Amino acid sequence: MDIVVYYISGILSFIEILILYKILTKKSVKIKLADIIYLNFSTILIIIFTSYNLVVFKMVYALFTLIILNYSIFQDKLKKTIFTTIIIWLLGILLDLITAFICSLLFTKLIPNYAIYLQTLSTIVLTLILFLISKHNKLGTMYNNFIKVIKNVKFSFILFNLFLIALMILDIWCYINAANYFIQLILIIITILLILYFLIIIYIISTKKILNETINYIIYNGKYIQKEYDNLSVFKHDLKNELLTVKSVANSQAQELIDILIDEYSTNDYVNNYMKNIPEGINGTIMQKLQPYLVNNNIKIKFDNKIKNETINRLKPRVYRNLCKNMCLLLDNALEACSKSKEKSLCITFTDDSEIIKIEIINTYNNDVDVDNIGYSRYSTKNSNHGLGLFSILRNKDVILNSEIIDNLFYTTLIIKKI
Amino acid sequence: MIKFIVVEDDRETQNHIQQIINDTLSKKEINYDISMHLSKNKALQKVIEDDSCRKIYILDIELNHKQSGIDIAKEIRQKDWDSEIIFITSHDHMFESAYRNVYKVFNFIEKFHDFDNRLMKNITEIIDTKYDNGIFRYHGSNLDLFIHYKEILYLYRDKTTRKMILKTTKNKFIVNLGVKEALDYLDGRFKLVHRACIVNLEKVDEFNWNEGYFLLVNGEKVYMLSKKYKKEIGGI
Repeated sequence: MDIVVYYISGILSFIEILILYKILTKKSVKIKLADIIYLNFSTILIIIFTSYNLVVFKMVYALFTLIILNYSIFQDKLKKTIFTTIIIWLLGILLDLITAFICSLLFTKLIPNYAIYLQTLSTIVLTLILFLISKHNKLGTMYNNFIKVIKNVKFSFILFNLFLIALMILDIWCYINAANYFIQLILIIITILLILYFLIIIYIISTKKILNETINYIIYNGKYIQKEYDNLSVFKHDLKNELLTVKSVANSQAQELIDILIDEYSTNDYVNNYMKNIPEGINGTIMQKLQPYLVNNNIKIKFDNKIKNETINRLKPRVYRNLCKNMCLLLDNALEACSKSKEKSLCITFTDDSEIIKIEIINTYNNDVDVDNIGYSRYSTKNSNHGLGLFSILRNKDVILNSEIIDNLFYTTLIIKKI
Repeated sequence: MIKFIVVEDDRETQNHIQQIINDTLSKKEINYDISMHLSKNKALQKVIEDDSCRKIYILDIELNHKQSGIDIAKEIRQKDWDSEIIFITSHDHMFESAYRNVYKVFNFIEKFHDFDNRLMKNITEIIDTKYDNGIFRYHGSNLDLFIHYKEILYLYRDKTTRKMILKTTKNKFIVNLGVKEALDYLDGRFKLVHRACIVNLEKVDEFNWNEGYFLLVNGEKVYMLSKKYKKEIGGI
């Protein structure tokens, strides 16, 4: 009788987990005869493990069986199958522990058959919970996003799975051998916390990897644009020479038109010239700032870059954000002031050492300056809606700003700590 | 005493520049010294930091080391805005105008285009100009102000804001100083001509005591002139 109960309970548990898998992943089911045979065989094997009290073997084999069955029935990607199965298995064990703990508080002795019913009950509860989750869009989306995150994790993923399995086995063993209820409760709490902690680590690792990949894409795009600009420069250069050749045999009207064309093709190489001298990782931002000023304002700009390309790429997100934000604020001010001056000249130098990145901006200007109020909130040499740029930088504890006026030059040094 | 500092990585060019300097100054009774450097080194650094005499830098832009002439100019200007810098370049650079304005470069001279005459002319021009390194230094909360005296036209106290406004040839600066306080920041060429106005005598074309104004070299007429201060500026 016991064997029949165990068998039915075991089959039900497996079926519940298959249902759970389907709810979570929304994959179609394709059951084959081999799957049914394997399911029955596995159930019998688990009963044997249970009868000989081989708890650890039972748990590991159950997991192994579930992975194979899910992979065969749902025909999903192996990594996703493994991870999803482990999550369900993990939640199932956790729920088993919790329900067993609660019931053992109410009943002084846990009898084997009773344990099986509890196990099945907890699986049913888990099914209902996940069924509800699958109906709720946000939580379903969260799960899907997490699966996407896991795709980016390679070595850590394997480590994560092994860690979880080892943890649960250890937990079950400790739980079974626990001296009292209090220790059992502690074990459950520790397990939950450890799992959460490890999930967060995986998420952080994956986010960093995604960030690195994004940076690589941006760098690649920057290099591609640079290459296209180089090709365009060569094309323009050749075209100018061709036009000069034509000019030599053209009449006066055509010569005039050719001169106009040559002038037009001579004016726009600033983008290519500038891009090469701006550190990678901030060249796009800077070019975006420069664009409105370059065409109409005839500003003379010189960049001097002494930063290696990897330096910007290796910055922590917080430091990179600081660098871009503060540099853009200063650049806005410098470009605006420079464009209104007679000389219209601006030089920017990028340097770095082991601990800091330094940006020096020297620009000509033509504003009236209140020396004591500059840098305070709402003071601006522009209109009344401005006046927060310098104020914002000076308040930032992660950067150092030095500003000087030397005759008609505004000299600003921005120092950003890399750490 | 004038110090010429030549930074050029080619010895032959160095010697040539030395010859030009000697030829230019041979007929002038000027005490000078020439210091030669192949690149930026400790000796050059020491010279840059020395502010005991007037300096003229002649720098090759295209040096064959890690630093270019522009880098050296940047280091010079971190400490010294009074010295003159002449760049020597081997070909025409359109972008030099940015450096010219920002690092106050006296001139860019091409090596292969009338080099000797142009360098002689520039050196003569610099020598004949009066060396004036007086600076108005003012430290605000977030900004330091350094304006050469020769750039300042006049200062006046604004009635509304009660602050001193410093007017230069190109800009206007507002500083939190009284009239008498401001005089302490200036040298002898600045005189009080009104209870609320100090003027740079070297920038004035005409004083009209009767109508109460002075006329500046840039054509600006400023109606802040009081007969009370006529004696102090020697009745000009």
